[in-house]
Amino acid sequence: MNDVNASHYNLPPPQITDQNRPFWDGAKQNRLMVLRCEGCGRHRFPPVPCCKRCLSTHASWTEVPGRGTLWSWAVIHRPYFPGALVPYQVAIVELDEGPLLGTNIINARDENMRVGAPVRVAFKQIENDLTLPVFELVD
Amino acid sequence: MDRLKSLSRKVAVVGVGTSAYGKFPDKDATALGVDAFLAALDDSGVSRDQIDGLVVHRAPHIQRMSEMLGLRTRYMSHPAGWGAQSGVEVIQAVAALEAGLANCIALIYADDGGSRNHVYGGPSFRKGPMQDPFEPWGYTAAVTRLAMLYRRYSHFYGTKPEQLAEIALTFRHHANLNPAAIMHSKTMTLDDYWAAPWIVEPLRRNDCCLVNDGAVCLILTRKDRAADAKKKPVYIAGFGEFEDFEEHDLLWGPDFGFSGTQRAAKQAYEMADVSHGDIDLLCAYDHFAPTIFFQLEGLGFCKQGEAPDFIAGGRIRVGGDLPINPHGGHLSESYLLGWTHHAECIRQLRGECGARQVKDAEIAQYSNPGVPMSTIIYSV
Ligand SMILES: [Zn+2]
Repeated sequence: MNDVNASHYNLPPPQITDQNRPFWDGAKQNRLMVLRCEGCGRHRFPPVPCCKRCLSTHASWTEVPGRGTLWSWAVIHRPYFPGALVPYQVAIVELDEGPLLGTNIINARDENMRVGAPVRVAFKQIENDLTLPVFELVD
Repeated sequence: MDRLKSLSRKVAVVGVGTSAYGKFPDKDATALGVDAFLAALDDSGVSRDQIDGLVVHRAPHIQRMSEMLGLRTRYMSHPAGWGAQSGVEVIQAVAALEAGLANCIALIYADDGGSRNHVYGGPSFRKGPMQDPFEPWGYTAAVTRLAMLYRRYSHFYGTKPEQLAEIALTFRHHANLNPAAIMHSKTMTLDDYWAAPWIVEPLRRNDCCLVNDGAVCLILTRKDRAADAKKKPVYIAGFGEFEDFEEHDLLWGPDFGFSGTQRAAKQAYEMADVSHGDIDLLCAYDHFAPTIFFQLEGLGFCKQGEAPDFIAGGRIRVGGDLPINPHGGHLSESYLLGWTHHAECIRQLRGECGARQVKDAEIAQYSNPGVPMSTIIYSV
């Protein structure tokens, strides 16, 4: 399987917009940022316009410790993105604060991958101005 | 429930038409839709001038389709391309007919995605509702979502790979009995199944639907007008639609759609006044094999986590207790977003299915997983 370090599988770079820029700026400083609802405190990511719990449209970016559990993972064998280095692994982690994040689990041996395994955030600098929050298994 | 029950068995499917299935680069979706419409019209005995409602799904231009068919309509609907839309459109057509918005509705689904090499992932899928935010990590494609869900499911319930394989093997066996199926002449053994490549692990190629061209047309009318139909009318006895978005965040909820499916099914069974034992066959949306487990459990044919054992021993094969997708489903007959499953329900209840006919079938159920989950009970 291809390693996340290898030019990150040749995937297209993120499309950075005003809505998600704080997430990517935070990652460059090795900080994991998600939105926190100013109405009820619920955390959410990706950035969507309102909180599904209280419907408040007011939210602020906040740093979270990046602890959670492995929700699931899969290995993509088909190059959906032209030139992508397949096969590669993608994962979903569930942050302790609630949001599900799409990500990659790095430095993990297959036999240690397990639904519910504790994970913590790590940061991979892909290019000068692109750092990707990824996760690793916690022993 | 009284209002819903008043709709039970009031509307019938009187015509079913399907185009050929495969790749037809010389035809676009609209042309395929015309093939299916003409076949359904002939099947029904209804005249073109009696049709005053039109639903066109997936094919890009409803006005072009209407013009080509020379229709005069007072009910038109052109839903977006959601996979789950076929059940919703049938349900809405029942309500529209009973409300008098139309007297006779043709519902046409047509797609030329096979010839266009439509890929359900990557850049062409970027406008999809689920995939955008996690693309930078390589997350894309409907199949990845299902692979993730199945990984979780098999973790919780200890499902073995050969138990998942039974779904693809069953539907391929059914396709081998169905001359219209794309995979009609291709048999598959368990060794063949293992030998096929991963698409997104833990799902192999044969756990994933075909991508092909084709079209389906259903003609629906009220009971008082169904008596003139050429063939035995098949009634819509019950239906349900539900989705629980409270826990949705980009992926299906944590329970594999169980609670939503359960609520939709409860309404449908109550409305139709039938129970699980009355269902002679199930046509369940199978864009990816694991959805069969999720639907069987949500619909209540077995408890959560029991579906892999439930399907063992030929139970879901034609001749078993609960045949599922006798036509071969999306995995092995044709992938037309659930519409082929409605067509199969009707044809089975009419007794037209030859080698794959479910004996004495009187009640057939259609279902799809989200979004939204919907289910329909057809009865003669
Ligand atoms: Zn809130």
